[in-house]
Amino acid sequence: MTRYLFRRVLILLPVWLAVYTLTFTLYHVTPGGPWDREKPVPPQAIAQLNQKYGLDKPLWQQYLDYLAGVFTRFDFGPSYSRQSRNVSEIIADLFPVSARIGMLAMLLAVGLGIPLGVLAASHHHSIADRASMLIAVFGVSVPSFVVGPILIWIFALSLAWLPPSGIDTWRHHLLPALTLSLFPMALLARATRASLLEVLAADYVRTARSKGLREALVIRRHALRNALIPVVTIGGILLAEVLVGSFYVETVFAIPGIGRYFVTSVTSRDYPVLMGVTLLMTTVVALVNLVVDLTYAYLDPRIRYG
Amino acid sequence: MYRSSAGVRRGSLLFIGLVVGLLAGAGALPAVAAQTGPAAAGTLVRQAAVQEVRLPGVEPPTLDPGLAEDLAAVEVIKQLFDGLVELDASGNPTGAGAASWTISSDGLTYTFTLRNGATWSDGRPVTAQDYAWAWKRNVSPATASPYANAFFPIKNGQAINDGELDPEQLGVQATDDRTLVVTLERPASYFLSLATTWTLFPLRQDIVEGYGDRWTEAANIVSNGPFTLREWQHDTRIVLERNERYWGPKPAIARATYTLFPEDGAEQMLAAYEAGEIDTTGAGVGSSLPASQLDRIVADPVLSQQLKNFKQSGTYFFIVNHRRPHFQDVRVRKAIGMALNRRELLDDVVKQAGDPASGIQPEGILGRQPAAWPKEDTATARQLMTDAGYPNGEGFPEITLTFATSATTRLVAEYTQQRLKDVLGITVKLESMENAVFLRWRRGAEWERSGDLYRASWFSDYEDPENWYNHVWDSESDPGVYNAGWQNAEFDRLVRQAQLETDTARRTALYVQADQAMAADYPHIPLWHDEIRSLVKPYLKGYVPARVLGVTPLRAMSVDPR
Amino acid sequence: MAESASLPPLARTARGAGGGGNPAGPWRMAWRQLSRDKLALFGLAVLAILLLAAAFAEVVAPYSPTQQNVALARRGPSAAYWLGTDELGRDMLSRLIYGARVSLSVAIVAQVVILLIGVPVGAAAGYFGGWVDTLLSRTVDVLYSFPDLLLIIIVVTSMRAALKAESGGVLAALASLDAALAGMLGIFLSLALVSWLTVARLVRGQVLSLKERELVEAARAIGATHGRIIARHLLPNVLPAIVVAATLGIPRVILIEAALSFIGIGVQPPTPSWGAMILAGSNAARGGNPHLILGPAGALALTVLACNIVGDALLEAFDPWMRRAGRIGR
Repeated sequence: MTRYLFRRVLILLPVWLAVYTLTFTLYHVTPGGPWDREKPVPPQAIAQLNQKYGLDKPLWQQYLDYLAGVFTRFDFGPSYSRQSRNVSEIIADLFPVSARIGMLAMLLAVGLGIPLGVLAASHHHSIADRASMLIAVFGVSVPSFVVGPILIWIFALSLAWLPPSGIDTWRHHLLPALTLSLFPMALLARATRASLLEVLAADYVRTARSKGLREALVIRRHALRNALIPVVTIGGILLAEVLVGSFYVETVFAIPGIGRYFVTSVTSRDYPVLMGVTLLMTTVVALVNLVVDLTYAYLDPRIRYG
Repeated sequence: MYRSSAGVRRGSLLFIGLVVGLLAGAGALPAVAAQTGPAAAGTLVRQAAVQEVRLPGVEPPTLDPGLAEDLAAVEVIKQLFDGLVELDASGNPTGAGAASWTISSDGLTYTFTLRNGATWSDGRPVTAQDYAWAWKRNVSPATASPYANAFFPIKNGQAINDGELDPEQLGVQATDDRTLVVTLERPASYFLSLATTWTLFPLRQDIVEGYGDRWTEAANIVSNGPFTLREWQHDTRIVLERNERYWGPKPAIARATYTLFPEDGAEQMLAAYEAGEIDTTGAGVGSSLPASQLDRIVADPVLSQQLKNFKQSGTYFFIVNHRRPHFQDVRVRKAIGMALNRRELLDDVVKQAGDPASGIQPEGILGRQPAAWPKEDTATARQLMTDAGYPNGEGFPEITLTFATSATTRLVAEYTQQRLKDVLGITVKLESMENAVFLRWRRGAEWERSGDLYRASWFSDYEDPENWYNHVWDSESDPGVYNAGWQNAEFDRLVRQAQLETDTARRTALYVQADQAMAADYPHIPLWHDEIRSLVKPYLKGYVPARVLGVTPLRAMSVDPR
Repeated sequence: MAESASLPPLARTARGAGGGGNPAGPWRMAWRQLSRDKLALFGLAVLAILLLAAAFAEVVAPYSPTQQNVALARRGPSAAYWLGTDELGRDMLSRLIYGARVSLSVAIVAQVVILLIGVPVGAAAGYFGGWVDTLLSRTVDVLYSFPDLLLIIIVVTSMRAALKAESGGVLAALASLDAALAGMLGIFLSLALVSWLTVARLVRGQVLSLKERELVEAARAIGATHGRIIARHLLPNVLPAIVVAATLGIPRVILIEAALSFIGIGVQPPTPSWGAMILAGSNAARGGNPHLILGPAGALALTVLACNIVGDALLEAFDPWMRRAGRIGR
């Protein structure tokens, strides 16, 4: 087991390198640079800025310089669009905000979504089933940049129960987390329902039923565990996504998070931030994958890693 | 290899729990710390003793006056720092950091006497050396200031920035602690206006060199203006406090809090305003009221009373590529400009405040002659196209209107496309580009070769005709600005002469002629002069954002106690 | 527990137990079952109407989607304009119908490509395990944490630049294809390239779980090739998850297209797309013009609903075939 874990962590290094190289290449192939502004910047100033930040050096040198900085000093570079800050600080400030909201959203999604799916599957073709399908359709088809403003309208402006934007107190976390949770909730509900339906029709489940066990027990003890495997897959993907923040939720609620920052680093070609956040996302995804794979092992004892 | 499945399960569970716990912990700890936030939203109790104003803002890329180029940065910098002079309400320079000055008869030497009692926020007096050092540092190519060209009128400024001379050679000298002598390269009567811009603000050498890139953080920064930087929580808020050591009249506002929103955050700012969290929707970056809400606001009995309009020194226009054969004829360009209905575009389509523009230079820029520019007139427009050889648009090639996408610009483009088709019969293709791609494209060979029109804007850095006629429209500056390829020998001659002219009356007359020459040649298509429409709470007094860059006049504002 | 709308379990089992190796069997059985499910027919009908409307937009739409009438901007539904008008006075209904073309084609093409890449990769990773799994999984990880946005920008921008350059041969053919697709070729490609990873993961997870079952051991024992095992025994059991992912992936792609409009690389104006219309109307409700959002959001929701209904019905209809495939040892 420990050998397996160790191997999984070790393999992160070539993954990081691959992501770094791919991102570096893609960034330098994409047109547009970090210094252009709506108000034209004199070409001379652009040349000077390139020199100041070492962007006039040959590409292979920039590639290696950055790696050297990371490995020797944990220096991920300065931000091109925030001139008094460096990337590590920015990530250290913004990531916990996104992670907090992401975790809260995931808790909501799992806590409401999976039971909804179980309910629908165990009452297949009933009103409850149809209703759950409608709820899921809503969650999946109405995007966060539409739901968010509506929730703000209701809870922050009309009722004045919650603040409309910002992240200062626990109250500020509720609406963003709720908005962010809708899509995962719907997805998890659908996936649980589909998977559980399939499992419930299986022979061994009918065997359990014919033994006279109560339906609920049948579901809990025999069916659910197997049904959850694909749900865990989807849950893992969703978790990795919400942890690194949603650009739309963070924009609509004016939250200083990494999701929003990442998109602006792409559109403003802020290369060090882009790279730093990408590497962070790689790490988050790898960790979440590990958790998911181990959860498979927990759910299905026949799966082994050695 | 066989492993006990129970062991695997227990081990997995443990590990899962550990990772989840770590992630949650990374999130939870800051959450605990964040419980101490500022006062809850919606409380409107104002104490007469402490006047506090809450404004919307956008995270500034920097607060270093030498590196700033952005509205968000300038907004805060102008509260924190004082320059040598500032412009009063009528646009005349009055002393700020400088108590008085003299100009030599040939207009080449300015001698500033600094104000007694002007100090930095840490108590040290502001000296002439602070100005001299700041200017030399900002013009140096190593600093890579985007506004280094502000120093080009000063002796050796351009050569230093080109890397040919050492920054010490700059034509500025501190002859003693309170006397600053500036030697210009050539006469420049706009120099005092230039001195109001932030690149010419003083800096503290020990602070800037001591803290390096971090000198602008709240813990380190030292400034000389009416407000100090109390707190800068990045991407969240900026808090300014009144500088009790300031030499000038004490501002009524003791504390100003900028809540930071994303760029294009007009909807969020409006929601915060309606929830009572900010006192105005502001006049800076992304502050104009969202089009989707305007009708509702105007119909609302309370909100409609809080609507204010603020004129700004800026214009939106379409840049025409003069290298394209079909745009060589001035009649074509005029026809396009005269075919648009700007009032309809502003009021009905984009629902933005704005003053339909016949000419390019906005109000406040000397020399502007709006009457000389052609008026909107669809009949004449059609006639002009026919005269140019394209009756009903026949024979006129398909042109492309390029823009960096935004909700408003998309509507402007779609409107223009349809309008030009309806009125002139010409076909316009729309091309929206990602922002960074667009900004690079308009500097490059592809625009020069095959581009037709792109949407652009210019906002005054200082309200002087030089900032428009010379800085932007002189054909020599053009490649580094809009790259339109427009060249008019008469216009160039007039504005270059005006740039060197020291007599105000003669200078104005020259710029008037230049504007008339420009109007006759109609190089680009003016759209509208910028105005900001904003909501302002009735208890916020004196909120009239500056025409230049919408800067908040904090020192003149006050809050009505309730 | 089951209502009369679907067949009772016993009947399903009986059919399944009947076995029979006729490959056309499951499809005919599926259709027969589908045609009895009223709800499924409703879903199919909705999808059919949407696709037909999109295909024959010129005939179906009451107005041109680009004809502006600024004097009538932002009006609510009326007799002349059933779903109201937008910011430039264009008819919302017509724009929705033409927008269906763009949005549906993007979604469908992208999903097909996604499945074509994602399923084989995921199945291979889950089935073969070992270094194959490591290689494929880590590649997926690398691509997954990769900034999609950057990839999309570069693909779309380069494609536009290359096609504009007007060189002959392949590029010219692609250029006319792109023009026919309203400039969407780059978007199809880039969306598919960044979205197949989820399906791959899903399939891998399912296959991992399934391959340990006795049926696979048995099949191997009698000499079935890997390919046959994957195709006939494993994939059918993976199908439910894939169907769910695909039906829900369709609206996802439409919304990504909206997101791309946000930064300027969606469909070129004035061509309408549901995503761009949703984005433009996202705050319209509070502003007093709810029709600006209800139309496009409603259209999307209806499409999602129909996809879900049909997806569910397909799952049920294929059930006997799937269970036969996985019958041994379950």
